[in-house]
Amino acid sequence: MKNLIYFLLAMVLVSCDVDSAMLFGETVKTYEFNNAALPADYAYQVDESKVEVFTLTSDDNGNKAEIYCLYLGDKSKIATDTVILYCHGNGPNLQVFWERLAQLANLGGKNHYGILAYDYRGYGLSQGKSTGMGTMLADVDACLQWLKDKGLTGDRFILHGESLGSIPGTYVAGYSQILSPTKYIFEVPQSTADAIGEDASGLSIPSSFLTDFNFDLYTAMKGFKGSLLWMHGTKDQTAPIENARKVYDVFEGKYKESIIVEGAPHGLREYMGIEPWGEDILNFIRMK
Amino acid sequence: MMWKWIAGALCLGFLFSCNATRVVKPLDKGEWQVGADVGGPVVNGSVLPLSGLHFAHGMHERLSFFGGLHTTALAFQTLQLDFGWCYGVAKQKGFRPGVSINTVFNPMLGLRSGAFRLYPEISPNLYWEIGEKHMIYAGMANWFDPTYGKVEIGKGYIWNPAFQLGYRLQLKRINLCAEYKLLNANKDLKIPQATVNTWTGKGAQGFYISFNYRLNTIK
Repeated sequence: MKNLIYFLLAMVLVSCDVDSAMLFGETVKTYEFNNAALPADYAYQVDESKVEVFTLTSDDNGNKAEIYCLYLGDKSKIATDTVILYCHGNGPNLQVFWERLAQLANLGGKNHYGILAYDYRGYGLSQGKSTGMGTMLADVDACLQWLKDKGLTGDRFILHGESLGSIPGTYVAGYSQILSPTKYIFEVPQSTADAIGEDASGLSIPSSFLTDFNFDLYTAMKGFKGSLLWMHGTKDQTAPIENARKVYDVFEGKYKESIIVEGAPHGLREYMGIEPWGEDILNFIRMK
Repeated sequence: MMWKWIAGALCLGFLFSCNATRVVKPLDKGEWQVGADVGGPVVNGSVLPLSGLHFAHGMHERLSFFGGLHTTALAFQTLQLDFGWCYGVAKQKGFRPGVSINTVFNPMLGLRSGAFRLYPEISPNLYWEIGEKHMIYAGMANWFDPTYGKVEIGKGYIWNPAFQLGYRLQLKRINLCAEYKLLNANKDLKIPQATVNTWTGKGAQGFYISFNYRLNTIK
């Protein structure tokens, strides 16, 4: 009996959490943000002199980590340029998003927009470990502060949150005290942590049963007052469209539009084609 | 990566999936059993190894009480229990199967947040004993979600049916069970970056193994 009690006590003390297990970050030895890492016939080759990798210190209430960032563009012109902050999806690291970052930078002309992207803690070369909302918000806040310090203002700030990136993205859009975007690209987004558990189990199981990674984009979106572009596929099994629609519906800001692609899975850009994907984003950014 | 998808799937609610049917045929009056079980739904082609401890007691000839503690859930800071009664409706007669009904309560208490859920369950089972040592059974586990309205985003379901098919090897002291379950058979389950396949195209399928030890043998 004593052994059984010790066993049960040990199970409680193990205190497993799935925060980090939900985040599929993998390290890399080095980044290759150059044209050689793009497809040979890729239409969106970059000016390699305008590629810079640097680190920022992310501080989650004293839990500090150096995160790796990529800036595509002329840093000295951030005070006058339009800049897109890209919060990437749950891929292993920033390298796998290099193609789309190069495309975003070249929308509307060669290196037309400044692009800032970063790896979450534990992804790529970024130090530390992503453990939920605390670290994710600390990481994005470090980027926002850097952009603000370089002179970016909200009226030239475009935010792009893709899949996992929609979590820090929507919190920035709805709550940020550092820098608020004028436009938000909400691509194949998640909705709430509870919704993920409910979709998996069919039961009304709260996410707090298993994790502290409790996010709620439904509530966060209510706070966004700018313009919103929602892009989603109807066959998305990773981020169900009906959940994202509820987040989209609750938005009451300046303007919103949705691009719903019939039959598209979670890999929306690849399914719809990179050109239409880029055109839709460019049209949204240029819209007055 | 293995641990990542396992834990990822666990976090998505599968941690709270069913277990092997605790009691199919009521125990003999006065009999006590204790045991352990392992198994879970199949995600990305592998069975999630969820574990539990359980006991059962024969209250009288037709009624047994049983309970269980889900130890994997406990490790994730959720106290998940199940307890209920197995009532023998009819005994087996030749090829006509024995019939039993389990009335179960599945309470869960989140140790992180204090959140509480209670899922009542009613599970009728048919069983056929083949000789003294073998039993096969089939049944339907019906979970009810009285808090389905709390689902703000997504869909809430009041009725969550599962179908089970199992085999038991009944030895003098030891009782071994293998069970297949088709979980949440009426809905599409979605897990980010993971695959849940079933032959029906709905729900999830699970495999469970249960070990039971008779503390006393009555017969």
